[in-house]
Order: sequence, then structure tokens, then C-alpha cells
Amino acid sequence: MTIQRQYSLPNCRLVLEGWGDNAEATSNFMEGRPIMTILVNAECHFSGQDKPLAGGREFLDHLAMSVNQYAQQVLSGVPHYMAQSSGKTSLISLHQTDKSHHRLTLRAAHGKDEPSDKNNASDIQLDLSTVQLFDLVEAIDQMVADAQTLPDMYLDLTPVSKRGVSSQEPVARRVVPAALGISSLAVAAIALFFVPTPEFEPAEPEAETTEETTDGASTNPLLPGTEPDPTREPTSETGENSDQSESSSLSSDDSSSSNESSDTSQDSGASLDELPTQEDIEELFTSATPIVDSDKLTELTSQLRTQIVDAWDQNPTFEEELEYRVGVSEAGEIVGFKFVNDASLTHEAEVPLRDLTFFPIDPDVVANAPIGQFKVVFRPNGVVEVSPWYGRPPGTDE
Amino acid sequence: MQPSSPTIQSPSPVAITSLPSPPYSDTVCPRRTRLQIDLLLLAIEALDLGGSEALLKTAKDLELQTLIENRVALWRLRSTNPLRRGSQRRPMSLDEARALVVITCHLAKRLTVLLRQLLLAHQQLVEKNLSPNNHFRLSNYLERFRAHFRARMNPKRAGVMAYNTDEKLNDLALDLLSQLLFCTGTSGPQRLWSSLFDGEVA
Repeated sequence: MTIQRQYSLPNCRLVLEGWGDNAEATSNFMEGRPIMTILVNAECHFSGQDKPLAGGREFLDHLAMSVNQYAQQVLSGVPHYMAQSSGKTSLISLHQTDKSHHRLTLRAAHGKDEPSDKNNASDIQLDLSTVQLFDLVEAIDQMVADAQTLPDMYLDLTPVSKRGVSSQEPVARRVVPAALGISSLAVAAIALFFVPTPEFEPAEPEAETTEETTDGASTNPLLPGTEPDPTREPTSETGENSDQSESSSLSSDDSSSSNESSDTSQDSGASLDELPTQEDIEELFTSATPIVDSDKLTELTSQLRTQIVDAWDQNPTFEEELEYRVGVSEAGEIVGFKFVNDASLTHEAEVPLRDLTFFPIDPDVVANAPIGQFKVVFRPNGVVEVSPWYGRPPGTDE
Repeated sequence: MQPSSPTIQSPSPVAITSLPSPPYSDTVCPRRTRLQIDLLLLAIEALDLGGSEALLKTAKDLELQTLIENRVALWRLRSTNPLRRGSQRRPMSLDEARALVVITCHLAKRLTVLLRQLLLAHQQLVEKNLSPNNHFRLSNYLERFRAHFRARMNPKRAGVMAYNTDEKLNDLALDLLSQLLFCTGTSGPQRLWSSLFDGEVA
């Protein structure tokens, strides 16, 4: 017994004719709506078109597939590449003609399957408006959703893959980013070609320097007892060094870390008996976290004064005050000092600061530890003055 | 009161179960998904004056409050649209997107008659070479959409600058109109949901 199903929408009518499965048909007959499992003929009528599109199961399958893909394309704006999994082209194809029209093409190849179709000589083309297209989509949706009609049909929706999209882009557009990248690389290369190659000033000697200075420094406390004048000693070897160390003290006065001072650090480092360079100390003073606790500062001040007074056993020969900037660790150890005035450099040997300076094995330990900075003044009359470099807190902020 | 992030603990609301997981590795929505959903909702608001109220009511009717708790939550979700002023960098989960898709289609279905009228009117105007301003309802919709778009999108974004004329915005509004029509169908939510991941899946 023939079963006919009809899905009607304002602009589109889908008519299906087919057979039910015999056993099923009888069991469901009483319910009035037997299941249609075999499709004999499908017709798709559009309003304004006198001849329907017609075909068998293949036609219906292709129609549903093409319409699904095309509807998704309308929704997303991402073109679907109408590739068939089987490799053969679909009987039905859809493409957009203008903003609100869509051309549906039914290929003539199916004419041989359908002898009733008189148009087997040529393709059938229909221009559908968006609303007509939607009605077609909806007719198919209703048919698919109808469990009593062709239950093996299901809604097959898959998003188009990234690859599918990228292959849609014209070559010219895909080439643009690459060309842009290559040309900007070329421009950068040309620009950098004119930048002079930096002179290779080997960094190694500097690394050596710091090593040597720390080495020399760690052995240094043993020396001064026998060496009455450590700063003079290297000067006697090379006349140049005296200038250098002098300039280092001057440049460190205005607390700058200019190129000049970095040069001196190399040169002065060449002589073994030198302390950590003024530049190193300057860096230490600026980089280390200052101790701001006023109680701690007071404690350190007195501790430092006692330390210096105890150690200073020479009678002063200098006429003017010697002023030093001294860094002290939390434990009260002197970790470094700087000459503030010229006399302080000239008469450095007469004061015990160098003897008292604590030279850590690992310079990094000091670099990370907080230090307090103090102004130490040796007066010609033998009096030592110690005060926090940044004054009394509050106001210890740099 | 619902917990603020219930998506993890509680099972998904029934209304969104019909939307399958896309073959997509991420757990949050891609950029185009967030943009597209917000634009469709914007078009609905331009069609229906009470659209934003209806949005919340639909969320309640469909029992999606676990995902869209209140007005603020909805606003935050829509602000994941990268073109918005004050766009939020918060991600949109797949379930949240599902909820918005279901709501969009539900509202679109209510507007089916209007959508068909406007699209038919536009088609007739095009055939007669007339501008959309000759149809009252249509020009009303376009005007409102332009106003909404300009008020809410960040004009500094390149994606917004692309719509710097009335004509370009009208084209966008008309595209959205036909997209909304396809949302009204029997399988509208599934179709919209699948289309949101076009070009995003591996």
C-alpha cells in the first residue's frame, strides 16, 4: 500500500511517496500512520514554479545534504566547500547569486534514473529567495524530524573544518602575510647592516678583575700590618695608576657610574692589592636595601664608632678632616667604604677602615643583604665622628 | 539563589541537551562564536523593543538560570563579544553558548512572522530598486539596529570600523535578519549551533 507524506510550507511543498515495511505496516496500520521506510518518489514544489523538482531516494539525499550545507553557510557566512565524501558531485548544488537570492541547480545526470523526468537534456535551475530557501530547509527538517517517515534519515550537520576554510582563501590573500613578513625581515636586515658592529671588548678580563679583587681583598686584611701604604704601592709600579685611582675617587664622588669609572675599575683591578673598586662599592651602596630602622641605625652607629676608635691607634698626621662613606651590614661589619674628600684618599693608610672591612667569600651575599650607610669623619685632633649617611630617620628614604 | 558557577557540579539543563559537542578541542568558545551570538541578540533587540526583557524571561522559562542567573550575568556573557565597548576577557563556556543559542532560537521563533514580512519586503524593494527606507517596519528595524550597534560596539576596533557607513550596517542587519529566519526552523538551534563552529574545528 502506498504511503504519501506531504510537508507544506508557504513557499515550498515536499511530497513523498513510498512503501512501508510490510510487518511494520500491518502492526502500525491501526494507529493510522504507518512508517514509510522505502521511498519511491519525492517531489519538491515551489510556489511560482509549475514543474516540481522530482527524483528518487538519491535525489532526496542529495537535496537534504546540499541544503544542510548551504543553510549552514548562510548562517555562518563561512563558505562550505561542497565536497562529497564519495568523490562524485552532488545532483543538487546551491550557490548565492546576490544578497537575497540563491540558485538551486539540479543536474541532468539523474534523468536516466527517472524516466518520468522530461528535462533530462539540461540542468534545471531555480532562483530561490531567502524565504523560499528557508521553507525548503524547513520542509526537509520536518521530514527528518518525522519519525514515521524514512526513519533512517537524520540531520547531518558538521561544522566545516579549519582546513576547509583556509583552502577557500585565494592564493593572493594567503601570500600577503608571508610576503609582508619576508619584506619586513629584509628591511630590518638592511637597516641593521648599517649599524656598526660593536667592538669586541672582551668581557673576560672584567670577570677576572672581580675575581682578583675579591681574592686580593680577602687576602688583603693580612697585608696592611706589614704594608704601611697599600694604595701607594701600586702607584710606584705604574705612574698611570695613580691618576686612575684618583679619577676613580673623583668620579665616585658625584655618585656616577659613568664609562670612565668602569674603565678605572678594570685598570685598578689589574693591581692585586686593590680593594673592591670604588665603582663596585658605589653599586653596592645604590643597589642594596638600606637599613631604615632607626633603633638599628643608632645601634650600628655606636657599634661602628667603638670599632673604629678601638682600632685607630695611629697619631694623625693630616691637617684636614678625612671623610668616608661607609657601608655596614646588619651584623655591624664594614662591607665597604668610599672616599668623600681628597684628603681621605691621601691619608687612607692612617685610618683603620681598610683593616676593619669585612670581605665576604661570596660577594652576592653582601649584594643581597641590607646595609646601613654612615658618614665617618676623622678629625686631625683624633676625634672620630660617626653618623647615618642619610640622616636620622624618618627621612631615611633615598 | 543559584550558585555562581554551577556548570561544573550540576548536569546541563534539559533545554540545551539537544546541542552536541562540537568536534572542537577547547572547552571555551572561539571568537567568532561569541561575536555572532551577540550580534544575533542585538538584531532581536532591534526587532523587538522588549527584547532584552524577553531574553531574561526566556532564560527563566527554559530553566537556564543555572547558566544565566540574572541581568548582570547575561550582560557579562554578552560582553565576551570582542567588539563590544568594555569587552571582557572572560571566556564563554560551551554550555553558556548553548544556552544563548537556545534562547536566540526561541525568541526568533516568536518573531517568525515579522522576520518573513521584513525579508519579503526587502526582496520586493530590491526588485523595484528602492531603498529599504521606503518600508516603515524595515527602516525602523535598520535604524534601531544601527543605533544599538554604534552605542555598544567599540569604534576603535578594526572589526567595528569595517561597518563605518549606514549601508554597511544595513547589510549586516539584513544578513542577521535572514540568519534569524533560519534559526526559527524545526532544527534551528542545531543548525545555528553547528554554524557557530564553522572554520573553527580541526
